[in-house]
Amino acid sequence: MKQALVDKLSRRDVVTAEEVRVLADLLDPPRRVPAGADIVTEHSRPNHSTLLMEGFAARYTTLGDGGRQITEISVPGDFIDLHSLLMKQMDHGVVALTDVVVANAPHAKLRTVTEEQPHLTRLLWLDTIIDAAIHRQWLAAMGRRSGLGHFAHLIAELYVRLQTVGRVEGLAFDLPLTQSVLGDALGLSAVHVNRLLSELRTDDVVTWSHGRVEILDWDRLVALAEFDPTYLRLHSEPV
Amino acid sequence: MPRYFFHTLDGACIRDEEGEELANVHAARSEALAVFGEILRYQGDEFWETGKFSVIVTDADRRSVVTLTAVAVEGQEEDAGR
Repeated sequence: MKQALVDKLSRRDVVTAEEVRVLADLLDPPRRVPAGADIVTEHSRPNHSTLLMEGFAARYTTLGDGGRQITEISVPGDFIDLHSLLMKQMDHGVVALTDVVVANAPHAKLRTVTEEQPHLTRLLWLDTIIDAAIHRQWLAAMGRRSGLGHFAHLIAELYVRLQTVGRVEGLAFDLPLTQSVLGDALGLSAVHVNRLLSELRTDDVVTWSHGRVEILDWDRLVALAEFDPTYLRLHSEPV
Repeated sequence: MPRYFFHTLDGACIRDEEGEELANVHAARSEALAVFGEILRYQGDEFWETGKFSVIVTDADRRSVVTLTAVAVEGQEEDAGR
């Protein structure tokens, strides 16, 4: 069940059999959270971190007028709040965008890992560093890319992250989200998202229907997005 | 609350099939202006392919509520300054 996490970490460095066992021992039994429910509440003080095993989740910040900005979409294999081990109080919330399966990793056990497993600790540390790198890319896209470039960047990023954890078929993947959720992630109105989808479809770059994305022209998608996957750190090099 | 639809037009018309529930016509106008400004801001060079962009708001009965249009007019800057 923690296979997605092991698959992802194994792209970055060798994960030993002992480390795989340590990760398995770290996790409580999986539990389900329905779409729309909070997995981690804004401002809460969790005593465990949460591994996303199936489905999609999102980090978000709510605004005074009831609006919401999604700051990262999480995919299977993501430790959605590993930083709560040290941050203690959550500065943002994490919501289930679809029905999800998650597992808790008690902070007491995570602390023991940091004391007894220096290499695995660095691998997990790297994962939180990559969260920050994803946020930087989102910030640059939000501030400076065209609407089409920004949207294309999100699709390219999600494809590569899902491919890493074996959740794609060829150039297609499931992404059962509404245009309004996408708008919250892109900082754009749902009307604008609808328009961008239509443009990508008309230009034979990407189609998105019934919650399934199909990339028709990867090279043009990458060009539109100016997508450079360096920030996802998917090459194997000792940490 | 009534539902309003925000279609966009720049050569090809992209229809809004989902629409949005808003309190009244005034709220629909505000939303139209927000969407109009947002899309123009992110359009880049695309705008210049037609030099024209509209947001057309309709109600649930497909009646037009309001239309916002941006149009590029070239070569008349001096006239406009007088």
